[in-house]
Amino acid sequence: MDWYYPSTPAEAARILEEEGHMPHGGGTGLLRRGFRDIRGLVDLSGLKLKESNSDEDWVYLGSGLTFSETVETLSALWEDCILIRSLSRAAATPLRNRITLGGSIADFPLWSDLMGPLYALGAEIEIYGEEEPLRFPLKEYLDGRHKERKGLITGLYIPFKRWQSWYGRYTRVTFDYPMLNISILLKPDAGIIRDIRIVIVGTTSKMNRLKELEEYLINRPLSMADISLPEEMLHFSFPRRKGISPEYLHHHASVLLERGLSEIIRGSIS
Amino acid sequence: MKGSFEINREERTFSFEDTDTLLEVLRENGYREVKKGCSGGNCGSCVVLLDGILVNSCQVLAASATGKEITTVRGLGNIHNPHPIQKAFADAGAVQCGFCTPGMILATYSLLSRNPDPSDEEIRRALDGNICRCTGYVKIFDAVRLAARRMRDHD
Amino acid sequence: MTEFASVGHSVRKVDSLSIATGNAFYTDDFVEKDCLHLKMMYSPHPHALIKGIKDEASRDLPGVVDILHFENVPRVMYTTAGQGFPEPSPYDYCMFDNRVRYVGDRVALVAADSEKIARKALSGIHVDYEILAPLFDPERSTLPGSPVLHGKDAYAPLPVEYSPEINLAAEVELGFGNMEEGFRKADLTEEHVYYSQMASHCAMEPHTSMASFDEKGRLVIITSTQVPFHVRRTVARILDIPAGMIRVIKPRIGGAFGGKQEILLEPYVAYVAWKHKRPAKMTLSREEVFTFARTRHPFRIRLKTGFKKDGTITAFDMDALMNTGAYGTHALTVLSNAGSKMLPLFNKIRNVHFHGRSVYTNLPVGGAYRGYGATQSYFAFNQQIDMIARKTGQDILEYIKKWHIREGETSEVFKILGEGKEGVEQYIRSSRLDECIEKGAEAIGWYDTRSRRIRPQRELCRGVGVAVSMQGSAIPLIDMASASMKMNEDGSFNLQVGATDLGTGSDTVLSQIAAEVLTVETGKIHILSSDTDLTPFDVGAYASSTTYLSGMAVKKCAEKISLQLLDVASSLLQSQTEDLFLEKGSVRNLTDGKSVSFEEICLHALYTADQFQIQAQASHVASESPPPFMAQFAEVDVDIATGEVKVSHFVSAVDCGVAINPKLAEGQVEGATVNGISYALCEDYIFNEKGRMINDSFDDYKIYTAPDIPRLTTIIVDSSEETGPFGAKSVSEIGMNGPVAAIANAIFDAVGIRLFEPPFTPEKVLKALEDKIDE
Repeated sequence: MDWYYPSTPAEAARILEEEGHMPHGGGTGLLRRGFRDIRGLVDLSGLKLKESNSDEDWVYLGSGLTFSETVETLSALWEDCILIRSLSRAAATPLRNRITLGGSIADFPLWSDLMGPLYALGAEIEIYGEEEPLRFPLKEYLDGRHKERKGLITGLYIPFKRWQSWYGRYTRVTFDYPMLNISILLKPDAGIIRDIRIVIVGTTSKMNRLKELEEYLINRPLSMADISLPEEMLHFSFPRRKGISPEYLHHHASVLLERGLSEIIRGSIS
Repeated sequence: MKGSFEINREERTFSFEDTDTLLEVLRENGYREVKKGCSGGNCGSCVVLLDGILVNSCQVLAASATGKEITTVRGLGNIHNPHPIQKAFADAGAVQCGFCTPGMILATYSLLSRNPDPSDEEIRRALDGNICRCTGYVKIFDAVRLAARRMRDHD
Repeated sequence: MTEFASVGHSVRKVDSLSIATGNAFYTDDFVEKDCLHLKMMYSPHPHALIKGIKDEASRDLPGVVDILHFENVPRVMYTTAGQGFPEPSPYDYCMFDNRVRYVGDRVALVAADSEKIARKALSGIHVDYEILAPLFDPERSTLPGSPVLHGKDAYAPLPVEYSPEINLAAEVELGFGNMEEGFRKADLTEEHVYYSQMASHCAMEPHTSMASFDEKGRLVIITSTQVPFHVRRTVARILDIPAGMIRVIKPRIGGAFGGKQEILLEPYVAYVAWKHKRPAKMTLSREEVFTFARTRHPFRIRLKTGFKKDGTITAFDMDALMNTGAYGTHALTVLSNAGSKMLPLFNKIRNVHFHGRSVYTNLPVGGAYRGYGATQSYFAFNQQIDMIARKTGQDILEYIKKWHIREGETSEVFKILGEGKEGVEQYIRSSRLDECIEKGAEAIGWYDTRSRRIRPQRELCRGVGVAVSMQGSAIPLIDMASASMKMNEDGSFNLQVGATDLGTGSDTVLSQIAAEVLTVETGKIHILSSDTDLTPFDVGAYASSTTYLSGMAVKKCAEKISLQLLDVASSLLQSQTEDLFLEKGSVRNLTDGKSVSFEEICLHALYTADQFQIQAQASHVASESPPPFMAQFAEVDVDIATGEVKVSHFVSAVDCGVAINPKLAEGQVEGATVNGISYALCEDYIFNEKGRMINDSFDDYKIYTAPDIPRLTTIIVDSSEETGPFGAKSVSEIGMNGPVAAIANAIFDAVGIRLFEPPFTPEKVLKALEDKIDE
C-alpha cells in the first residue's frame, strides 16, 4: 500500500481516480473500515482544506475542518447555527478533534451528527473532479446523481440564513453514537411558522426529510395550543439496533420530535 | 516506511508500516506510557497531544502524523519534576489503577491550556472521551479543580 | 478525627506519582528481546467437536514458530479460577480441547515473532468442526435431552455437588426452621422472580501475561493478576515443573474487579516459553476480553417471602439458578455467596430455605466479579423488602432498622454456608448500619422526596429508593496472608507482602498499618508486593481480604519488629524494656526521658555488637469475617414519555470499621457505585441466535463516562472492628451491591412500576409503564 501526499486538490482528485485509492483526512473512518482492498492512501493534510469564510449569502467551510474546528469557526461566525449544537456533543473530545467534515460526508455513517443538520440547512458540497471544482446540493450527492462523486470533497457551502434551530439525539450514554437524531430549523415571522425544516437521521432509509409534516406546520400560528403530530405524517421506520427494537426507536423519535417542535416553537414566541 | 516525529520535544525517526497507528509506533519505540485499552477510539487510554490537540493515538495513522509534535504524559513532567496536574492527580486521590491516568492528565492539560477556570460542565465535557472504571470520576474531578486552582494561583 | 498518626489519614497513594508521570510499568510495558507473540483462535460455534485441525499453511509462514492445539498439547484438567488449593471449582478446563463450548472458546494458538504475523497466521488454520446442538437456556440445562457440555474427565477436586452429566456445575442447599409452618403463619406472601444480567468488568487494562527466563533458566511470569501465588501453583501443575522453578510477578495492574482472579493466559505463555525456551507474551484485545475472559454470572432468583401484617417475615425461600456458562469457574462459591452474604442480614427470620444450582450453558464463562453473587441476591432482597414494607404500611428505613442483624448477634447462616465447605460461626462485633441509614437518608433528602411523586419537569417523575447490604472481610479459616519486614540503617523498613494491589491502594494501606505500629511516617516504609520469589505467601486480592487479612499479618509482623527495637534499645539505654516505648521513630524511656533513634538502633544492630538483622515475618488466618455494612440511596428521574431513567443523586453510607485511608476507601465506594449504576441502567451482553456476543466493543457495550456521573455523596461512618487491624474491615466490594436495587426501588417510588430484569433500559421501562396503564 502506498501513501501519497498531494499538494493540490486537483492532484489529489487525479490520484483518487484510480481503483483502490482512498482519501485520508485524519478521521476515524478509515481505521474502522480497515485496509483491505486499499492500494493507496491519499493524505490530505497538505492541502489547504481548513479554510473558512462567509459572505452575506453563504458560509464556506473547508472539508478538512474537524468537528472541533467547525464548532470554533462557526461560534465566531454564526453563533446560533444548528451545527454548533450537533457537532459539539458528537462522539467525544479526542474524536471531535479528528473527525472531519469531508470524511463524515463521504462515509455518512448511519449515526452521523453532521448530515441531518447539513441537509436541513440546504448545504451544498464542493467536489474536485477532473478539472473545475463542482458544486451541488448535498442531497444530489447522496443520491449519486453526479458521477464526480468519486472526486475529492473540498468544502461545504451553507446558506447563511438565520434560522431558529433545535437538535436532539437519542443515545444510551453520553459518549455514544446516536440511535437517531432530529434537526429542526424554524423561521418564525409575524406570529406564524413561515418556514420549517425537519430532518431525521438513523432511519431505515438513513435520512428522512419530513416534508409532509413541514407542509402541515407551515403557516400555523406559533401560539398553537397543542403540537400533536398526526401519526400518518411520521413516515419513518427504524432498523433493529443492538438490543433496541424498531418500535421503540419509532416511539422515541416521535417523542423527541414533539418535544423539539414544542421547544422551538414556544421558544420563538419569546 | 520511515518517518520523523517530534516527541516530547525530541526529534525521533522510526521505521514502521504504512498501516500502523501512532499508538503502535509509539509503544513499539519505547513510549510505553501511552496505553492501549481498546483500539477503537473509545476508551481514551491512548490519547496524546498531536500538535497540541488531544487525539486518540489508536485512531491516528503514523504515516499521517509525520513531522508533527507529539506530547505524551511524560512530556509534561517526570517523577523528579512533576507537572502540577500530575501532582494534583496524586494529591486528590484520583489515581487508583492508573491505566486511565496518563490520558486523563493530557485531557486535563488540554482543557486547562485553553480554559484555566473551567466549570464542572466544561470539565466533564473535556474528559468525556476518557473512561475510568476504578474511581467513579469523583476524585478525578477534584484533581482537575485542584490543578486549575494551583495553576491559577501560581500565575 | 483520628487518634492515629498514619492510620485514618488520607496518605497519598505510594505509587500515584509514578503512575501520573508515566513511570509505572504494566505487564504489556515489559519488553523482552526475541519474544514470541501469541494470538488465539476462537470458536465461531457455540458447541462443536473438533474432528481435526490442519495448520500446515500457517506453520509455513515466515515468522510463525508454533501452532498449539489439542493434537499437540497434553491434556491436563484444571480450573482457571484463582482460589486456594484444592479449589472449590471443578476441573473442567484444559489448555486445548477437541471440543468447543461457546462462541469465543479457545481452539488453537499461534506463536510468532510478532503480533502481526501471529494474527495473519490465524486465517491459515483450518478446523474441521462437527456441530453439536447448543444449549443457551439455563432453565433447560439439567433437563433430560439437553446437550451435555462436559464429559467424564471433568471432576471436582473437593467433595462437593458436581454432576456434569446433567450440566450441574454446583449445588447449594441450606435450610432451617420449618418452611411449611412459616408460610402457614404468614398473613401475606410476595413471590417474584429476579434476574441479573451478564456483564464485563471493563478494567481498562486488558488481560496480559508474559513468560521469560531468568539467568538460571527459571521461568519468570509477569502478569496482570490478582492471584500470583495461585498462578504459580497452577502453572507448575499444568507444565509439570516444580513451583520453585517459577517466579510470578505482578507489576502495576490496570484494574481487575475480579476479572483477573483467574489463571487465564499464564498457562499459555508459560507453555510456549518452556517449550521453545524463548520469552512469550499474550495480550487480549478489548473484544477478546469480553468473551475469552470472565463475566458476571447471570442469575435467576425466585424469592418467596411470607410475612405478617406487621411486617415480620415468617418464611424466606430463595431458589437461585446461576448460569455459569461453558466452564465452572467460581460456580460453587459465587452461588454460595449469594446466600451467605445476604441471608444473615435479616437474621431473625426463623424459617429460611436457600436452594441454588449453577448450570452449564454454551455461553461465555462467569467468574469472580465485585460483589460475587451478593450483588445479584441483594437485588432480589432489597426490592422484596421494599414491597413488604409498603404492603404492610411501614417506613422502609424503620423496617430495615428493626430487622437487621445487630452487634452481638449471629445468624445460623454463618455456620452453615462457607465457600465449598461449611462456614464459620461468628457474632457481629461492629455494625453501624443504623447510622448509615440515617446519614444516608438525610443526605439524599429522603423524606422530602419519598412517595411524593415530585415532577422536576412535566414528563419527569422523581423517586427515591434504598438498598442495604453487608459483605465480608476475607474468608475465615481458609485464606492466609503473610508479611515480612527488615530494617535499614536510616530507620526505614522494607516491607514484603504477597498481597496484591490492583490499583486499590493496598500497598499504601499496608504501609500505613506498618507505619502506625512502628510510629514512623508512611514514607519510611518501602513496600514490595506480589512477587513469589521475594514476598511471602498471600492468597491474593479477592473476597475483600487485603486490608483485613493481609493488614493483620502486617500488623503482627510490625509488632514483632517493635519487640526487637525495644530489645536493642534496652541495652543501648541500659533500661528495662517495660519502661520503653516507641515514639515517632525513636525509643524513649518513660521514666528518665532518655531516648535513642531508630537509626542508632539499627546501626548498632548491624555493625556494633551482638549483630543481627532486625527482621520479622508473620502470617495470619482470620477466624471470622466481619461484615462491612452499607446503605445506598438512589434518587432517580424517570422520563415517562421515553422511559429513560437518570440518576440525579446517589448516596452511599458505609461502615467499614476504621478507614485506614479515607480517600482510598471513598475511592472504592465511588468506583463500585458508578459501576453498579451503569450495570443497572445500560450494561448487557447481547447475543445473536447463534450465541455470539454482538456488542463486544465499547461501541455497543456502554459504560459511564464523566458526563454521565450523577451527584455522588459518600459517607464513611465512624466505626471500629476489634478483630481488624486498627479497627478496619473491608470496603472494596460492598459498594456494588446496592445500586441496582436502590435504583429499582426508586423507579417504583417515582412511577409505580417494578422492574425485575436489569439493565433498566428505556425500552423496558416504557413497556412496564405501558403495561401498568393497561392494568
